Amino acid sequence: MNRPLFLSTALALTLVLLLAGCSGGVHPTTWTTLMLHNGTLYVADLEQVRALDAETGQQDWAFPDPPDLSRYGPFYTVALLNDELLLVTSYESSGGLFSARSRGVLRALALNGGRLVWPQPFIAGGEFVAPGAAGAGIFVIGNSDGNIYGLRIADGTLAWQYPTRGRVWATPLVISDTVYVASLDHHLYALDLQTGARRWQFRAGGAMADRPLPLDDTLYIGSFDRNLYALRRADGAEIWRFTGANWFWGTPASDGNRLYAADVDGNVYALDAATGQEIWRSQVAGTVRLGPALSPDGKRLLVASENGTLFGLDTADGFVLWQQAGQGQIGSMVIGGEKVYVTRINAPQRVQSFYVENGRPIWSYPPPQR
Amino acid sequence: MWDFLILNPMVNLLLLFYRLLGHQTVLAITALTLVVRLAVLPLTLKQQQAARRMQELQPELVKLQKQFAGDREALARKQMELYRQAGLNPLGGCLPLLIQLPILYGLWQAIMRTLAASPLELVRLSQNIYSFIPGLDALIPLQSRFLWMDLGQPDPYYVLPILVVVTSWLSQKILTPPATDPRSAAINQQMLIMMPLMFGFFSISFASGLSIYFIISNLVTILQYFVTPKPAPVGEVGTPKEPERPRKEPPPQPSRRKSGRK
Repeated sequence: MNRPLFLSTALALTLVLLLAGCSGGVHPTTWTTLMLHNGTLYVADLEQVRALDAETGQQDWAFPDPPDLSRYGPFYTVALLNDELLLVTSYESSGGLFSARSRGVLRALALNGGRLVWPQPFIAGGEFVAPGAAGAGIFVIGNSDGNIYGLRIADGTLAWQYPTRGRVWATPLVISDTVYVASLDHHLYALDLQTGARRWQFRAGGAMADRPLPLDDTLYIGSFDRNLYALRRADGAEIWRFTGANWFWGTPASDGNRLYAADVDGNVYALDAATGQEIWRSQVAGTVRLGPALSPDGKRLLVASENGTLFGLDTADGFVLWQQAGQGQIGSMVIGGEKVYVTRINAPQRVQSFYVENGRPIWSYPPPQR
Repeated sequence: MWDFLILNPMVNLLLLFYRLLGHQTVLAITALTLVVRLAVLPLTLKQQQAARRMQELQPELVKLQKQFAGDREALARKQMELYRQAGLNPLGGCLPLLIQLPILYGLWQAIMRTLAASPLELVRLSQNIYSFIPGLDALIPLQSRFLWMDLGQPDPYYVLPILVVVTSWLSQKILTPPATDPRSAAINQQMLIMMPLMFGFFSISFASGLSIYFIISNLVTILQYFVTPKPAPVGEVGTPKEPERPRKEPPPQPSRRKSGRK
C-alpha cells in the first residue's frame, strides 16, 4: 500500500475508533448510586459493586472480584432489601462489534460477601436507570424499555409488568400495598403492589424522572414542565403546584413543614409544604439534577451540581455556607449522621465522604495517588 | 458561545418542527436537515463550483509540475498565474466548506442532543431549550419509537446502516470528480470505500435518529447533483481529456495539448 493510501486508511480508522468510543474504559450513560446500611456503604461503581466501611472508606468486598467487564457490568444502581439482599443493576452488551446488543440486567447479591443469590438474573430490554424498591415480597423497578416490573424477591421471577408510553427512570415509592412510579410519559402511576393493576394515574405537563416524596397523605413530585406538584396520595388529585425557572428533576427533601427542591438551573427553593408558598429562593452554580438532601438536624441542605460541586446551604435562608468542588458528576448523595457520602462518574475518585457541617473531605475511594 | 449560536437554535428548531409535524421525530429530523441544507446551499454550490474549476485546471497544473519540476519558485509563480488567468482563488473552495462544517456538525449534535437517549444526555438538553417559547419542555423526551426502532438506539436489524452505506456510496460516487492521475484515482477509490463504511459504522454504533439524518443528507446531496449544472467531462484515469476552457482564458499553448494526452 502506498503512503497516501496508508495514511488515509489509518486516519479513517482512528476517527472511527475515537468517535465510536472504543478507546477503552467505561463510558457511563447514567449515574451511579449508593446505599448506607449499618455503617457500610454499598456502591454500584461501574466496574464492581463494592461494600465499603462508611467510617474509613476501606473495601470489605466487591463483586465481581476481580472486575470482569466482559461478563458483568457496568453497574449503576444498588437497592437494599430485607437487610440481607442487595439488588444491583447493570447495562450489559453482548455480541460482537457489529452485533452488539445492550440490555438491563438485575442481579441479587448476598449482603455479606456479594455472592449471587438468584439462579438467573432478570433481564429487560433497556437500561435500569434508578434503583428499585420493595414491599411484601415484591421488588418493583422501572426500565428504559417503558415497563415497570414487579419481581418476586425470592427468586427474581416476574410477578407482573406494567407498560407505560415512556422510559421509566424513576425509583418507585412503595407505601403499604401501593407502588407509585413516575414515567417520562408525563404520568405518575399508582399500582397495586401485588398485581400491578393501576389504581390511579396523574398526568403532568411534562416528564417526571424521579421518585415522589411522601409526606402524610400528600405526594410531592417535580416535572419537566417546570412545576412541582403536591398530589393527594389517595387518588392523585392535584392540591397545588409551584412553578420554577426550569425542569424539576430530583426528589424534593422535607423536614415535615417545608419542602426543599432544586430545578436544573440551580435555583433552590424552600416552600411551605401545605400551601406551596415560596419561603426563600437561592441559587447555586451549575446544572442540578439530583434532589437536595437534608441533614438530620434540619439545619443544612446539601445540593449537588452536575459540574461536580457539592454545596451546603443554611436552611434558614438558603445562604450558601460552603461549597466543595470535585471532578466528575455526582451520581447520588446519602447523608448518614454528620457525614455525607457521594458517588461520582467520570472521575478517578468514585466515592467520597464529607462533613455535612463544613464540606471538609474525609476520605475518597479509591484513595488519591500520592 | 457554540451553544448560543449554533446548537440552541437548531435544538429549538427541531423541537418546533416536532410540534408542528404531529410529534413525528423522523419528520422533524427530515425537516431540520432540509432547512439547514437549504440554508447552506449557496455555500455548497460555491464550493462545488470552485472544486469543479480546480478540477478543470488539473491537467494544466500537472503539466506545470512536470515542466518546473526542479524549480519550486517558478512553479508556484506559474501556478498562481494560471489561477489568476482562470479567475480562480486556490483557497476559494475552502472558505465555504469551513463555514459549512460547523453548521453541519451543529446539526448532527442537535439531533443527538435532542434525541437524548441516556439520562446524562437529557440533563444536558435541559440547558438548550428556550424558555421564551412556551410548551417546548412538554415535548421532552421526543417520541423515539419509529417502525421497529428506538430512534435513540442503533437499528437492531441494520436496515438503516445499510441504507446509510448505500446512499453514502452513491453521493460519494457522483460527487467525486474523475481523477487525472493514478495516485489520485487510487485515493478516490479508497475514500469511496472507506467513507461509506465509516458512516455505516457510525450508524451501527449511534442512535438511529442520526442514521435518518445521514440518509436524508445523502439524498439531498444526490438530488442537488442532478438539479445543478454538471461538471465538465474529464477522461479516464491518467488520460485526461482536454478541459473546457473558461471563457475569458487565453487559448492554451499547443505544447500543453500534446502533453495533456499520454
